[in-house]
Amino acid sequence: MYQGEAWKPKPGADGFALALENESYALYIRPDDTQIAVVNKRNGYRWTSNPTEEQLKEEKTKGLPLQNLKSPFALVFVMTQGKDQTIRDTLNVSSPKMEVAMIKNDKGVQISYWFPEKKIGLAIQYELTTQGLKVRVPTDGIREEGEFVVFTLDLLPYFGAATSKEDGYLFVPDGPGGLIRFDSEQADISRGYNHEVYGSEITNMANYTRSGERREDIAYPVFGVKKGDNAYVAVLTQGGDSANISAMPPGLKTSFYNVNSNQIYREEYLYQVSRLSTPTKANQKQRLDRDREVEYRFLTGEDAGYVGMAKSYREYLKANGQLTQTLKPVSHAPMYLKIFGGNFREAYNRIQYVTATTFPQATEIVKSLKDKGMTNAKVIYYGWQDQGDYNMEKRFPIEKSLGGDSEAKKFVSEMKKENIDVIFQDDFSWIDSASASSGKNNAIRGIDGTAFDGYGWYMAKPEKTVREAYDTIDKLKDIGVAGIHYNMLGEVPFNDYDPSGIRTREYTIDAYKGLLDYTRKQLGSASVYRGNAYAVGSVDYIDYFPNESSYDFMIGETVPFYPIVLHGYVPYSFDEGNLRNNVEDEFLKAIEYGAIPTYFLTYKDSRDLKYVASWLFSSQYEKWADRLVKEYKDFDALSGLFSQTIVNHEKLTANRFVTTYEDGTKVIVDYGNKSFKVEKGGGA
Amino acid sequence: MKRLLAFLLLATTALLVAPGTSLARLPYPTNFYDGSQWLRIQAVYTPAAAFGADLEEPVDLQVGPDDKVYVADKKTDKVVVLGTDGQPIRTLGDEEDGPGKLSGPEGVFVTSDNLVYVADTGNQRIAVFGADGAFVREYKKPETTLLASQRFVPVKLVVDRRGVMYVQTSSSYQGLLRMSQDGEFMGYFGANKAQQSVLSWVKKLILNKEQLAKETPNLPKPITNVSIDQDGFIYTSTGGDYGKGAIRKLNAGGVDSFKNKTLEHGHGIVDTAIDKEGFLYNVDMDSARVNIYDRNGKALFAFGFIDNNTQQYGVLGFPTGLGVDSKYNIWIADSRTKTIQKYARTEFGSDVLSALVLYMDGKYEESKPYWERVDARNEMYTGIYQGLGKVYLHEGKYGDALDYMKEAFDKDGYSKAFWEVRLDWLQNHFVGLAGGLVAFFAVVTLGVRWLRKWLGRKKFSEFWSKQLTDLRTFGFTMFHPYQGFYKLKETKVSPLVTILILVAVLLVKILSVYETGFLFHPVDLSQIDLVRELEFFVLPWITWIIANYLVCSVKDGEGKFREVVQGSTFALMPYLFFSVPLLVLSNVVTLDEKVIIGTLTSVMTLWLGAMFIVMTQVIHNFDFMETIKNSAITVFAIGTIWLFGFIVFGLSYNLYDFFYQLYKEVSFYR
Repeated sequence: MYQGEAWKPKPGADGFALALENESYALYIRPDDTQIAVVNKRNGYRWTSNPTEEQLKEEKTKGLPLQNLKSPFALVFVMTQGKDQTIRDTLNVSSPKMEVAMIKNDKGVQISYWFPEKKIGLAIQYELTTQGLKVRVPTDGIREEGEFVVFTLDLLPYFGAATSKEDGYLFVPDGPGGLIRFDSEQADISRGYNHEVYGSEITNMANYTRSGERREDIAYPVFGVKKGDNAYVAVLTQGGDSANISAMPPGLKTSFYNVNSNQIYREEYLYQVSRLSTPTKANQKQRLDRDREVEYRFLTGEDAGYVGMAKSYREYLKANGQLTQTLKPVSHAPMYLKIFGGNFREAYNRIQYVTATTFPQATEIVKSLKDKGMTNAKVIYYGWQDQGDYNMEKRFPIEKSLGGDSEAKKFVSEMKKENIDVIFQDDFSWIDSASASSGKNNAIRGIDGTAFDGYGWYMAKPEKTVREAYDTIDKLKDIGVAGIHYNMLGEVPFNDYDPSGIRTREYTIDAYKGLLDYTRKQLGSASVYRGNAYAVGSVDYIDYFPNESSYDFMIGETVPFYPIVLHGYVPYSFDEGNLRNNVEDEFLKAIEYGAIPTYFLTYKDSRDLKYVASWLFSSQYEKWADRLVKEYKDFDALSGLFSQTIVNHEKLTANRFVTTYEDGTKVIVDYGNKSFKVEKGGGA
Repeated sequence: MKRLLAFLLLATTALLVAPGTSLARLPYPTNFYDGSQWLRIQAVYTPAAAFGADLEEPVDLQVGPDDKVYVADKKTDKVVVLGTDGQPIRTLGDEEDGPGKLSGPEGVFVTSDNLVYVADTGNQRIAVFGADGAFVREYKKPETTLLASQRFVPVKLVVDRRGVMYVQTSSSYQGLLRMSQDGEFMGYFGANKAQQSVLSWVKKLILNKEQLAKETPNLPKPITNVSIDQDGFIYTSTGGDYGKGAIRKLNAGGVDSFKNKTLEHGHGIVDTAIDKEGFLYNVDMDSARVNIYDRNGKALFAFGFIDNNTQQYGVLGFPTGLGVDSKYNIWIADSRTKTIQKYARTEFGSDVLSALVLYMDGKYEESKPYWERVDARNEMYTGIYQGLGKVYLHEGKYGDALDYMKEAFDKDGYSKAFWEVRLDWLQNHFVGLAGGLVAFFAVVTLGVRWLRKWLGRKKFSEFWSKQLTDLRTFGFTMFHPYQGFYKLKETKVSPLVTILILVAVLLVKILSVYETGFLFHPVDLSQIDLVRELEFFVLPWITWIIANYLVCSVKDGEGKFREVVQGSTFALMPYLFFSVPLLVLSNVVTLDEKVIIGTLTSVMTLWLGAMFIVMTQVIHNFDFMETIKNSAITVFAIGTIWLFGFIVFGLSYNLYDFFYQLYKEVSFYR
C-alpha cells in the first residue's frame, strides 16, 4: 500500500487529469468517477477504462449494467453468515456514499474506495511501465469491516470495450488461443465466456454438479483486445491462478464486447450438514489472500494482433525468467514414443496385472521402428509400477511380469546404446483406497473442510506429492531412467482448505515447480501434460498441449497463440498419432502448430486391455509402424525449425494456413487437399 | 493415467463429472454399447455447426426428402426452412391474418413430394403448404360424433405414403389420431399400454366401485413424438420415466416389432429419426445423450451431451426435435439455445456404420474392407469381432472365425464356426478318434476287470475293507436307491468315505465352473467369483440337511442326524455320475445339439430329486405321502432359514457399515 498525502488533481476540460507519464505512455484519471485513460504517445491512441459519453449515447441498458459500464471496477459482495448466502450484490463507483481517496507517488497512483453502507473497501494501484500499464489490487487494501465480504472483483471490466461495428476482436485463452471477432454472427447465441484460469477448483463440489461440461481449461492467464491498428495483451501477473477470464458479447448485459479479469476472492460451495439432508449453498469464509496484478501491454501496427500478443507474452515470460534460452538445434526431429507396459485389473480374489509390453518387447518395438527409419526418439514408459496403478504408493519392485528391476535396467541400457532416453510416466498426486497413508493427513481439503474424495481416490497435498516423488527419483536414478513424465503437475493446481489455513494455488504451484526442477537436476528431464504457464520454465517436454478449442459458440476462430509463445523454447506434442479422432486433420494441425510427433504403442493387441485401458483403442505397434514412420519422416523434414521461434501465422483461405519461422521458412498447410509444403527461408 | 478416471466416470455417470477434464477432446465422449456396458470409442459424430436462424423457440424438426431442414418455431408462428448449409431459405406461415397464418405450431412433417404438413397447434388444425411455401389446404377437427367431446389440438404428426395422417393431439392418451387424406377420422392408432403396478392391482382387488372411481385413473402415457421410416413403419416415442416400449416400431396393423422392449438410454426420449438404412437415432434427456440403434433397437453408439447451461457446439441445452439427412448428418433443434445444431459423421463413424449396415444385410464379403478399416483404428469395438467373425465364417477361415466369435461372446456365430471346425477335425482325425475311443474303452473295461480281480484276491485289513464296502454301497445306491439307503440306515459309513465323496463332488463342481465349454458357459473366467459359486452350491445342501433333520424329527421321522448326513451325501451320486460326461459333451457339441446337454441335465436333476426323496422316505421310515409332505415342509424350512440368515446378515452388515462410516468420518473429515 502506498502511503502519503492525498492527491487532489485538477481535471482538464474533458474531466481527466494527467496522473502519470513516461516516455511512451501517459495515464489520465477522472477524479470524479475514477475512470482512467492511457494514451500511447507514439501514435496518440487513447485506451479508456470505459466507453466514452459519445459511445454511450446509443446505449440502451439501464440500472446496474449501465452503472458498471461507467465504473473501472465492479465488486460483488456476499455474506458468509446466515441462512441464505446466495444473495449477491454489486458495488461500483455509482454506489451511494462512496468515499474516494487518491495517493500519488513516484511509482504510481493509488485510489482507495470505501463504501460505508456495506463497510467494504478496496484500493487499486496504477503504474506505467515501458510496455504499458500495471493495475494492482493489493490484498492489504481490501477492508471487510461489517457482515459483508468481497466475493469477486471485475477489474477494469470495460477497458477497450468495443461495439460490433468496430474492426477487431477479443482474444481469450481458450485452448491454443481463441478469437471473438466483433462482426461475429455466432456471438448472439452465446451467453459469454467466464472460466477460471487453470480450470475450476477440484476442491469445490459445486463444480461437479453440472452435467457434461467438458472443455479446454485455460492454460495461460492472458487475454487481449484488438481494435484496428491498436491492441493490448493483458497478463495476469499476480494472483492469476485465482481469477476468471471473462468475455461478453453485446446484447447480454450491454451493447459492447468486453473482456477482463474477474478476480476470485471467495467461492460458493455446497455445505452438507448431514448425510441425509440436501446440501445448502454457503460462501467460503476466509478470503483468498493474495495480491492481484494485471499488466496491460500495448501493441500497435503489425504487432496489433494475436501474433503480436503472443510475442509480447513471450517477452514477458523471458523477462520473468520463465523462458531462458532456445532449444539446441537437432539434426533429426525427436519422436516421443509412449509405450504402455500394462495395468491392473480386479480379477476374482486377486489383482491381475495385464501385460501389454514387457521391457524386452519394448526394446524390440524401438529397434524395429528404428530399422524402419525413425531416427531420433525418446521413450515414455507407462505402467511400470508394481501392480500398475493399484496402490498408487507402492511402486517398487518394478512390476515382475514386465521383467522387474533387472529387465528395466537392461532396457534402459539397451536404449542408451541407441542414444534414446527412457522416461517413466508416473502420478504422485492421486492416491487410491489401496494406498497405506490416511486421507486425514495427506489429502487436500475442500472448502467445507472435508477431505477431497473422488470415489475413493483422493488428491495428495503438494508436500506429500513431493515427498513421494523424491523417494521414487532416488530409486529411478539407479535404474538409469532419464526423467519422469508427471501426471497432474502441469495441469491441475488447487487450493487446499486445510483447517489450519488456506494454502492457495500459489503454494501448490511452487511445490510442483520445485519438484520439476529437482527432477531435472537429478534425472535429467521432467515433462508434464497440458503445460500450464507456471510450468513452462521447468519442463523439457509438454504432452497433450492445448491444440483444440472448447467448441464454444462464442469463439469464432482458434489460433496458435500458445504455440507461438513456446515454440523453440519447449517442445510440445498433441494427441498420439494412433489415437486421433481425425487422423489426417490432426496430423496437419500438428504440422501447422509446430508440434512434435508422438505415438502410444503396445506389443500385444490393445483388445487385451479392454477392461484395463479401454481408451487405448488401437496401439499394436506392427499395425501402426508404417504410418508412424511415414509421419515421422514428414516431421523430420521440419527438424530445422525445432529450435526456432514462430514469427508469424496467417490464415490464407478458409483451409490454408501459413506459419513463418525465424529464418523465414514458411510452412503452408492445406486442410482442403490434406497436404503441406515448406518454403525454405533465407536463413536455412 | 488417473486423468482418465474422469472419463471412465463420464462413461458410467453422466451427472457427475470431475471438472478440469483437461484432455484436448470434443466437448463430449463417444461410447459404444458392448452388450452389457458402454465403453469409450473415438468420435463417430463430431459437432459441425450451430445455426441461430433467428429462431425463438424451435420445437420440432424434420429433414425433407431434398435434405432441407424444416423447423417449427412456436414463438414466431413460423416454420423455418434451412438449406443444407444451415442458412434460412424461406419461412412458411403468413404474416397477415388469413388461412396461411400459423399460431404456435408445434409439429412439422414433409412428405416425399415436398408437401409440408404443420401441426398448427394454436389454430387447432393441420395446415398444408406446398413446396413453394404457399398455403394449400387445412384440416380441421374431423366431423364425427366419436370425437364430439374432445378438442383437436395437434402437436406432432407424420403422413404415410397414402396421405394418411397420424396425429398426436395434446396430451392425448388414446394414441395417434388417424385421418384420411380427405380429413375423415379413421380411428386411433398405437396407444401406449397403461402401466399396471402391483399397487393398482391390489387396489382393484380390494376397493369397491365408488372408491375406485375416486382413484386417479391409471391412464397410458401420451406419446411424445412420432416418426416414420421409408418402409412405412411408424415409430412412437414416449418420454418420461418410461423404459418399456419407450420407442415402438409399429407396422400398419399397429404391431410393435421392437416387442415392447426396454431400450438402452431410452428413459427420456425426445424424438427419433430413421436414416435411409433403417438405423434409428434418438435424443434422450435421461442419459443426456444422442444415441444410435440398429434396426432391431439394439444400442450401438452414444455421443453428445445435454447441459442446461450449454455454451458449446455439440452440447445441447433442451433438445426438442431431431432429423437425419441423406448424408447422415444429424440435425437437432434446441429450444434453450434457440439454435439448430448439426453433427457430421466422421470418417471412422462412416466406416463403422457402413460395415454394420452391410453386416445386417448379410453382405459379409462386402463388409470386409469396412471392418478392416475399423479394426485398423480401434480394436476395442466388439462389433468388429462379430463382423469379421462372420466374414471369416463366410470365407471358410473357421479357426479365425472361432476366435473372433469367442471374443465377441457371440454364441450363435461361435456355434456355427465350431460346427465347421469340428467337422473338419473329424474328417481329418476320424480314424484316430475311432481308434482312440476303442482303445480308451478297452483300457477302461480291462482296467475295471483287473481291478475287480485284484480287489477280490487281495486281503484287506478290516479298516480298508469297510471303506471299500461303503464305496460300493455308494455306487449301488444310485441304481437301487431303496435298498441302498436301507443298507445305509443300518451301517455307520466311515467318515473318510463321506469326506472323499464330498471332496469329489466339489472338485467336479469346480471343474464344471472352469472347464465347461464356451457355448454353455460364456463368461470371462478371470471374473468368476469361485467362493460365491461354491457358496450357492454348498449352502443349499447344508441347509437341506439341517432342515430335513429338524423337520423330520418333529414329524416322527426315525433318522438320526448322522444318517441324514450320510444319506444326503450318497444322494449326490447322480451329480458325480452325470457331470463328467456333461463337461466333456459341453466342449464337443454345438448349439444345434444342445438338446443332448439339456436332456442329460434334466435327467440328472430329476434323478437327484428322486434320490433325496427316497432318502427321506427310507431314512425316516415314512410312507410315500408323508415323504412328499415332509419334503415340501423341508423346502419351506430351508426358505425360512435363508430368510432368517439374510436378516441377520443384513442387520450385522448395517452395524458394520455404521462403524465403518463412523471410522471414515473420523479419519477423512475433520
